[in-house]
Amino acid sequence: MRDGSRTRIKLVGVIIFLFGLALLGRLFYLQIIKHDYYSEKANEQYIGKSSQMFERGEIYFKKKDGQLISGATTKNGFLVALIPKQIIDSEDVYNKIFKIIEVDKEDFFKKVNKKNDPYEEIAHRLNEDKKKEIEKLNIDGLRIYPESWRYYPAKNLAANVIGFVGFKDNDLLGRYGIEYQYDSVLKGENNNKDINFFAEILSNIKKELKNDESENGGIVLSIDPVVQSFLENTIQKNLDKFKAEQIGGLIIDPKTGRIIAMAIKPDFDPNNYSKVKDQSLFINPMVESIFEMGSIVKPLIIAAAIDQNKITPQTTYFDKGYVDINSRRLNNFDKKGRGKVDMQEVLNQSLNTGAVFVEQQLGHEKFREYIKNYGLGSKTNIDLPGEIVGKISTLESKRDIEFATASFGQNIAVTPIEMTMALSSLANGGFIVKPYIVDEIKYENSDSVKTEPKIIKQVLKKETTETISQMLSKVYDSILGGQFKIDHYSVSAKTGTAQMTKNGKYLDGQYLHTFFGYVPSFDPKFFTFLFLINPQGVRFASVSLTPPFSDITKFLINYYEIPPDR
Amino acid sequence: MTRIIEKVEKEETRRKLFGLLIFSFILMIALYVYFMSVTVIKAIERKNNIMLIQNLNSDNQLLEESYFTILNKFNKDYAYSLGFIDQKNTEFVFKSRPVAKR
Repeated sequence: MRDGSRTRIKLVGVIIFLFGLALLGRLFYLQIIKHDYYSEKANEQYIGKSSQMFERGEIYFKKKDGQLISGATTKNGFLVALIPKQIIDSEDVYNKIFKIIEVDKEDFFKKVNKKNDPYEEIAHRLNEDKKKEIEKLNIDGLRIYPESWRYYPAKNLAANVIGFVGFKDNDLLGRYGIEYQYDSVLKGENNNKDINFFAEILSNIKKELKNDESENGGIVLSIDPVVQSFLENTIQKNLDKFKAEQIGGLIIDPKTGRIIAMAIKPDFDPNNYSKVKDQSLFINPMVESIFEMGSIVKPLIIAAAIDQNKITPQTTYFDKGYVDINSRRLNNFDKKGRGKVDMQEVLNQSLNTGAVFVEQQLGHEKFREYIKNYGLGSKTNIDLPGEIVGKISTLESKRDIEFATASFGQNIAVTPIEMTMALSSLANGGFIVKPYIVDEIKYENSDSVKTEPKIIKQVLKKETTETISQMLSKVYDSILGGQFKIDHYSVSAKTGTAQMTKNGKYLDGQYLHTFFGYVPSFDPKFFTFLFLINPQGVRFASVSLTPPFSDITKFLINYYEIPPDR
Repeated sequence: MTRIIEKVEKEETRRKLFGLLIFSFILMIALYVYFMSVTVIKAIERKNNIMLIQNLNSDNQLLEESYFTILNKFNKDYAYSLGFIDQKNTEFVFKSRPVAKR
C-alpha cells in the first residue's frame, strides 16, 4: 500500500476515534456526572406532571347572534408538591409559603413528616402570580408542577343541564348532564403537553397506525346564556317568595324543539359539587322526575275533542259543580256549580266537570289514543341522560273514573319534558317534535355535526290548533282579572294546580303548580313551561306562576325583538 | 468485476472516493446538527405556543367570568335603581304592504 493511502486511512481513523471519544465524553457527562440532575428532571416529567394534566372538549352556550360562551372548559394552573426528605426546616418552610397560599398546618406537617414518601401534594389550582411568588422563595424540596382541571365559568348557570366531571375509580368522567351524555366526545386522551418530544412523535405514529376512529370534540348547546340567566333569576325570586321546595322553567322553540333555556332551583355550583350534601340536586327533574300535572292537561283533551269534531268552543254542558263516577264524586276546585257553561269557560275557570264532560264526548278509546299520540307515556329521546317515561297505565283500566280523573291531569304522571312537547303541538300546528339541547358537535379533526329539527308526527289538524290557541289566548287575557294581558301581543296560556302524591297517596296541603304559555299565539316563537313544588301561602298557580311567566314573556319579546301581532 | 477493482486501485479514483467519503461524512454531521437544531427549536417554539395559548385561554376565562357576573347584575331591578321606568302606551306602526320600491 502506498504512503498516500496509509496517511488517509490514519486520518479517517483519527477522525472516527475523536468522534467516538467526543460521544463517550458526552455520555459520561450526562449519565455519570449529571445523573442525579437529569434523573430528577425525568421523574418530574414522567411521574409528576402527566398525572395532573388532562384535556377535555369544551361545552358552549350559544347566544342569539351565534356567539359562543364557555359553559365548561379546562383551566390551567399549578400545584405545589413536597419532597419530604429534602425539607430540613419544615417550620420555616411552612411560615414562608403560608404567607402566599393557604395551607392547612396540620395537613402540611403530616405530609412533611412522611420522610420515605417521595412526593406529597400540598396545594392546588394556583395561578401564575402565586406560582412566581413561590418560585422566588427558592426552597429546596418544594416543586411546582402544571396541572389542569375542569372549570365552569358560569358557576350555577344551567348546572343541571351541563352536569360535572368527577372521579370514578381512577378515571375522570362526566357524571351528570351533558358531561355524562357526551363523555365519549368530550374526553380527550390524557396527553401531557410537556411530554418528551420524541416520545410524542412515536405516540402520534402509533395513533396513525391504529387508525383510531374515536373523535374528540366540543359541544355547543342551544341554550342562550342571556335567556338562561334571566329565567334562573326570575324563578329563583319565585322560589324564595313562596318558600317552595323546587321550581323549574323551560323555554323552547315549539316549532323545532330547540331548547333555549332549562333551569332548576335550587341548584349547585359544579366547580364545588363535592360540597353539595343533597345529591338529589344533581338530578334534572325536567327529564328524570314525573308529576301529575293538573289542569294544564285540559287543553290537550279539549283539542283532541275539537279535532274529532265532538265539540266546538261554543259547546255547552250543565255544571253542577261535581260529577259522580263509579261511586266517587269529582268536584271543581271550589266545589261550586256554574250552570250552563261553554268550553271557553271550562278553560277560563279550569272546571274539572267540564274536562270530564269533554272526555265523555271523546270516548275512552280516542282519549287514550290521543294521550299516547301526544307522546305522553313515551320517551322524548331528548339528548340528556336519565330520561324516564311517564306513567299512563291507568288508562289501560276499564273503569270510567280513571279516564275522568286523567281528563283534568290526575292519575297520570309524566315528565315536564314530555308535557312540554305534548303541549307544544297546540302551538306549532299540531306536530310532535323531538326536543334537543345540543345544537352542534364541533369535532377537532372533521366537520361539525349540526342537530336538525325532527318532526315525529302530526297529532292535531292545523285548524284545531288555531281554535285552541284562540281559546287559550282568551284564558291568558282573563287570568286574575286581566292584569297580565299584554296589549299588542296575543299570549296563549293555562295554569294547573295538582295535589302532590307520595307512594300513590295524595298529600294534604301539598301542591304542584304548573303553567305553560306561548307567544305570539298564532305564530309562536317561544313556549314556556314552569312548575313549582309545594309553595307556601299560595293555593293556585294563577297567583304563583303568572307573574314570572309574564316577566319572562316580556323579556323574550324585547330580547328577540318580536313584532306585535295585535 | 476485475475492471472495477482495477479502476479503484487507480490513484485518481481512490482520491475521488476518499473525497466523497469525507464530504458525505461532513454532510451527514452538518445535516444531523441542522435537523437536531430545527427539532429543538420547534419543540421550544411549540412549548412557548402552548404556554401562550394557555395564557390567552386564562384571559378568556377571566373575561367570561366577568361576563357572567355582569349578566347576573343587569336586570330590571338594577335598571329601576338607575332611574329607568317602564314605557307606557307603546304605539306600533304597521304597513300591510312594503313601501320600498325598486
